[in-house]
Parts: sequence; C-alpha cells; structure tokens
Amino acid sequence: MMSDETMRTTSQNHKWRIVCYLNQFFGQLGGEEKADIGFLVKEGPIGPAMLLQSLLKEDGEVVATVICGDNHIAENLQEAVEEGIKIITDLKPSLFFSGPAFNAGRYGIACGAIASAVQELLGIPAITGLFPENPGAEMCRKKVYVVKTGINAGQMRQALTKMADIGRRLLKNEPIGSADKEGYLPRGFLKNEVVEKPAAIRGIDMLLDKIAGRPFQTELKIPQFEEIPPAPPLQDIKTATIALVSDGGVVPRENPDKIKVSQNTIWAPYNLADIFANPFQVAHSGYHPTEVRGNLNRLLPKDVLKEMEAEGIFGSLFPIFYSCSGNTTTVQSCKAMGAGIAQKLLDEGVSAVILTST
Amino acid sequence: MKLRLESVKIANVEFGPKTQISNGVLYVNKEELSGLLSKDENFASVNLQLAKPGEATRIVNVADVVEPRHKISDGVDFPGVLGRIVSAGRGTTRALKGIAVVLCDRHRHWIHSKSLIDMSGPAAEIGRYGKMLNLVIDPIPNGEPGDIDYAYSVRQAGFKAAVYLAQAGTDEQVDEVEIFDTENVNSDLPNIAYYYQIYSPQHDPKGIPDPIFYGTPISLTLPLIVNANEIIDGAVLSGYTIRMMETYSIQNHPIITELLRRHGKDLNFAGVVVAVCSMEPVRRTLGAMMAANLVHDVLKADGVIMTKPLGGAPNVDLGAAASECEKLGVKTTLLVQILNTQASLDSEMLFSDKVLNAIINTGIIFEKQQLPALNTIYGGDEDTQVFNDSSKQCAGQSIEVEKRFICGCLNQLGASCAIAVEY
Amino acid sequence: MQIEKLGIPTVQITSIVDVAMMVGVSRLIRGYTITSPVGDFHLKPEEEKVMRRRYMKKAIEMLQQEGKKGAYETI
Repeated sequence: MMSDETMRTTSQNHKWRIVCYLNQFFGQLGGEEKADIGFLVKEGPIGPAMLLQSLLKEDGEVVATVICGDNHIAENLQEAVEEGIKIITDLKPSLFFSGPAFNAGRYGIACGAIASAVQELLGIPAITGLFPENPGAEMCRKKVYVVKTGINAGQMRQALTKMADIGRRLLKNEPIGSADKEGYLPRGFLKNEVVEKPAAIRGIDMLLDKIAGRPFQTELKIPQFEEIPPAPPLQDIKTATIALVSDGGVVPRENPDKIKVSQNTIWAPYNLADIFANPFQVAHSGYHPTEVRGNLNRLLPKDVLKEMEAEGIFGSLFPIFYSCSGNTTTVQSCKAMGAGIAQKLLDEGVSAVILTST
Repeated sequence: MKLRLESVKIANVEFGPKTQISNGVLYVNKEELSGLLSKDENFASVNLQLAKPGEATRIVNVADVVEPRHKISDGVDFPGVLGRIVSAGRGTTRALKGIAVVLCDRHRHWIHSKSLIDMSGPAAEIGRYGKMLNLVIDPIPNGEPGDIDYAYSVRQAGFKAAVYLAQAGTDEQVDEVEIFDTENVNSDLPNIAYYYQIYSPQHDPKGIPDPIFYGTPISLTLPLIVNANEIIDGAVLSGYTIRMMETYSIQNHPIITELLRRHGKDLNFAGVVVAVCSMEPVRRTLGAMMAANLVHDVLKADGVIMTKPLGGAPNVDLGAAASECEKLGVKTTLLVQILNTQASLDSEMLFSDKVLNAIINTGIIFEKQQLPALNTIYGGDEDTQVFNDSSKQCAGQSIEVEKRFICGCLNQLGASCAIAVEY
Repeated sequence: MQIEKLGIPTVQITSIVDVAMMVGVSRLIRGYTITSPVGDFHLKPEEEKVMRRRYMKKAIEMLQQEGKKGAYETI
C-alpha cells in the first residue's frame, strides 16, 4: 500500500503526517446555517481529530484538518471531491481519516467520497467511520475501511479508537482480520478461514437450534434491498390525480402528530391549502429551513402545480400532502413510512406522486 | 440394520516381503500387490509408492482416495464393483485408520476432475490427506484406452488395493469398535433426517452415467430411502469427475457418522433420503415433492440436514427440496459452497425462499493458494499439467491452484473446517 | 420506492441523487439544492416560478414514461 520510499521518509521524520476531514459542525464552525461553507484548512487537529491525535501520538501527527460544509459537498459531489483532493494532495499525508459521520446522511456521503478518492487517486490509506445504514456506507465500503459506528456521536471515542487502530496497522503493513472481528463494514471480499468445528457438525448443531427455536447465526445472509420494478407510466395524464409527498418535515405549527426532527418514524397527512395559509414548522434538523420558510413552494411546488392543473395539463392536484421527516431515519423506518404512505395513496385513488426530498 | 466397524490404527507403512501388520506398522508386498493390479488389460504397469507426512512429495492426477476396508462378515467388499450385489451396512467391517489409498489417473482426460495432494507445505496444512500415510496407486495406461473404460479400471484398482490392505488387518488386535445401529428411538428427542444429493448428471462424462450406487448408474433416479449404514459401508462411491467428495469422505461421512454417534443422545437419526439432481424443471418439482414426502411422512423428521454435489443446478434442486420440506413443517439446514472471493455473504445467497434461513457455507472453492515446487512427484511427472485458469503450469514448478483442486481441503459433505468469512 | 411498489408512478426530486439511485429510484430529478429542491431564492419571484415550472413539467413528463433506474434528469 505504501511505497518503500514513503515508508523510509516517514521513519526518518519519525512521525507520519495525518490529515483529517470534518464537516462544519464537527469542525466547530457552526450548525446547519454553515452547511454551505466551502473547503477550508486548519492547521493541526480540530474537534474529534484531537482525539485521533492522542490515539496515534506515538506514530503520527495530525498536521491539518480539512473542513467543508455538508451542503457544499453533497450538492456537487464530483466537483467538490476534486477540489478536496487538490487540497489534500498539497498537505502530503501518509494517512487520512474522515468523520466519523455516524448516521448523518450528507456528512456520511461526503466522508465516504473523500476517503475513497484519497485511497484510489492518491494511494494513501483512508479510513472513515459510519453507522452501517448511513447512505454513504454502501458507496464507499468497498474502497476504504469503514469502521462500524453507533448511530450518533455518543460513541465517538469507540469509533475513533477503532479507526486509529486500523489506520496504524495499515501503515505498518500489519494484517487486518475479518470484517466481523475487526468491526468494519464488509469490503466485498470473502476469504476462507479455518474454524474449530467442521461444517457437518456446525450444520447439525444449527438444525437442532432451529428446531428448538433457539437463536442461530446463518453463514449466508439474505440481501438487504428489495428489487422493486418501476411502476408503469401514467396512461392518461389529463385525468390523473397527483399528490405531493415530502420528507422535508413540514408540519403545522403545533406539530400535532409529533413528527421528530431526527430518527423519525411518523408520517401524517395535512391539508395542502392550510399549510400554505397558516404558520408551519419544519420538524427536520438535518437542513437549514430558511429557504423553505421564505417560500414553501420551494419544497412543495403548489403554486406551479395549481396553475398547471387550471390549464388542464393534468387532472387534479390532490388536496392533501403527506409529510414526514427523513433525517437519520433507519432503512426499516423509511420502508415502514413509505409503505404506510403508499397504502394511503392507493386507498385515496391517487394516480401519481411527486416526492421532494431535502 | 446393524453395522460393526472395527478399526486398526496404522502408525507407519513400509514395503516388505510379506503384507502384514506388526506393531502398528503396515508392511506391503509391493510385487504381490502390483502384480494383482496389473492384471487389468488397460494397464501397461502399475507403480506403487508410499507418501508420508512431511515429505517433499506432490501427488498429481489424483482421481479418488479410499480408506482400506474389508468385510469380515455379512457382506461383500464394494458390492456391485468388486463383487456381486448384496446389501452393504450389516455385519462387521474392518478398517485401517491413518492410511489411505490414493488413486492416480494418468489418462489425459478430464483435467478438471483431478486434484493434487502435497505431503508438506501449505497444501498439507489445509488438506487432510497431506497429514496421512498414503499408498499411491499409479497405473500407466496401456496404449490409448477409452476414457470411461480406463476410469473404471483405475477405480477398480483402487478398491482392490483398499481391500488387499485391509485384509492384512483381519487377524489383528482391534483398536476401536463402533456399532452403528438406529433401531431404538427416543420419542423425547428430535428426529433428524439427512437429504443426500449424491450426484448430478451434469457431471456424467460424455453423458454416460457414472456407476456410483452399488456399481450401478442412478443418474435418473427419483429420491430413494437408503440406510445410513449402507452409504458408509461401500454402497455409494465417488464419481469419476466429482471433486470434493472423495470415497474416503463418504466412507467416513461426516454428517452420517455424527448423526449415528449422537443417535439416542441429543437426537434420533431418522434416516437418509438419497437424491440425484434433476436436469429439468418438471423433474425437479417432482423430485422435491417426493423428497419432502419421504422426509416428512416416512422418516417422520422434525428437521433435515441437506448436502449437494458441486454445481449450480444442484443448488436449485437443493433449494426446491428444502422449500418443500419447510412447507410440510420440517426445518432445514443446508450446506453450500461459495464460489467467488470477490463477493459478499448476501450476494452469494442463492435461494430466494426466506424460510431457507439456516445455511452453512463450506468455503470458497475458487480461492487461490500458492504452492512451492516439491522434489518428488507421484502419479505423473514434472510436466504434468496442473489446472490454473489463467496460465499453463506444470507439477514440477511452484504453482498457484484453486482450493477445489487440493484434495481434502474442501468437502461438500461438511468434512472440512473451512468457512468463507467477509473481509 | 414503496409507493412504486403499489403501482403508483412516483417522481423523486432530490439533490442527493446518489442515494436515490442506490436505492433504485427509477424516476429521478436532481433537486436544485438540498435546502430548496424546487426553488432558488436568488431569483426574483416570477423567475423562480418559471424555474419551478420547468421542474414540474419534467416531472409530469416522466410520470408518463417508463422508469429508468440508475439515471437522473438535471433541469
């Protein structure tokens, strides 16, 4: 992984150069209101990078922390990653860490994309930490080591400790064990290992457990995502009823159904006209709601759709819209909410849906 | 059906003037055995060699491995193959433990079917036969005999040698006795059946069925009930072109012997359904349904453990039979191999029926292993080709082989401790 | 996806297209920004409405066409 030259250089300099990537929040610049901020570099370790520094103090030094706003990078991923790579290249790291991002979606995607680019384009060991269901995980786990973390920053120390350990071993060319044993997401390889019991005995024991109703661990897993074929296209747009659905978390001011700002599991129908007429709330802590507050049409495009309805372009705009909040929601919850909304739409005779997501 | 298996442990093997066992050492009269085997017209001559653990020896062209066994009473050695057809699985059988007969097939056919055994190095660490004493039977073909005919001759030679060696142990002190008897059933214990897909016609060389069941081909059979004792006592033999299911591993069938040993302890061994993979859908449906009926109605099983030979069609068959069993309320556990290293444990999931949730993986067959060159080669020579998908390589070199070609490393019946793990 | 499962064609508008594609969305339009999928506060209100209309026009078009996984439209 590391060329001999690089290894010699670092051992001469005694310590590896480490660079860390954080978002605006962990980089201590601010919250959602700073999510648009572009790349900036701070000397030395900031925030969680300080803990990484202390964990690796024997071998390395965090020479810089690269910080970028979640929206800036997530909205234009490819360009932003290119920008980031230029910055990171100049910092000449031997080891790179991004995050950990836990279950934060945009941050996770950013961490994964940057770490992957560092690994692939610069050949530098790159490690990140994500909750297994973070959307960024699937995109990068085959390219970089993704340490499995808890759902939020409450487990920061555990995550960073594992990340540091794997990073150290990668640089020292020490072997890394299996995904389960070491606590990272499977990277898409399988290896034969030798265990104590032959398959025959494992099989008989597993069967006895299954019969008795005791828990057992299968050695081949059932895949995660359902293959759902696209729904057929609308036949007659002129008679179609279109409904709006959104996971931006817009609710009436009192939030009567108590939709949660994060890890939400609740969806609810609200009258579209009413939500425009009366004060509303954004029950979603994953994005900055200024623009939506400024003009709700930016999330729920009622104005244009009403015009198009009047012009006869399509049948009718369903008077109810379906709202939920999609911030760090688990895959299970998303599926459940989606299924609930879907059934309601079917019951109400809706023909098609426009779904807006933040 | 009651079988008494008597074992004599062999600590070492040497050639000597008389075939006999003395102080745990097996002496073999080379000329006598070689003369016996050379009678086959398909052989110009028969080499015999001894391969011992730790030696820098590579055995190539391995077609099968057999444990020396001889019927002391109530039976015929390898019925249907060496002798007339009578039931296996009764009476007394004597086995020599710690030594195996390795058959080499030098005919240039079926390169994919041949394996190798190294007596030292990585292959010996991961393959069981590299840790045993081996008598290598290495016939030299007489001219250019026909494929099938020659393969059959080689097998016969192997079984004859296995019997010849075991006969030396007839009057010997026995080290261990096991009685295999499933007469008594304890109604408090779960009934466990074994679904044994022993073969797939996709492996029939040139489409000619392989005579693996009492020396008879059963490529087209519908599911059968066969007594477990019969299977381990010579009724079922390995196919010509099937790897990872050597005769040795059938004689010492890991699932059958484990179920027999645990019978009456934490389970009742309800019996065995033998099946052959179906080559088309209607047959498959019929086979699956019948297997499930046999397992549920006749064997009265609460659960069934299931194995298959190599191949994708056998997977489909296995899944179909398993689904039918589950529908009747019989719980299933399946043993399947993993093909690829670039994969994950959910991408390799081959069954869509969600009730098939208890799967054992028996290791990755395509995983490659580097092996050093070794001084001595049996069963071939330095130029004997050893299969590698990307380059031509010869036995005399250091080579890279897939684990499925290292005899005794992986096993479809569950004998191996290898398991595919996610990295 | 769950809505499509019940046979109701759905167009999703989001600026995080990678996740949507990964999950298998087959009618996907790239949203303008995360915080404003079909709007742009830099524009004057009438201009913004024109922009929003372009999105809706495309959405309605896509509802009448076959879904295509692994792809998205940019307005």
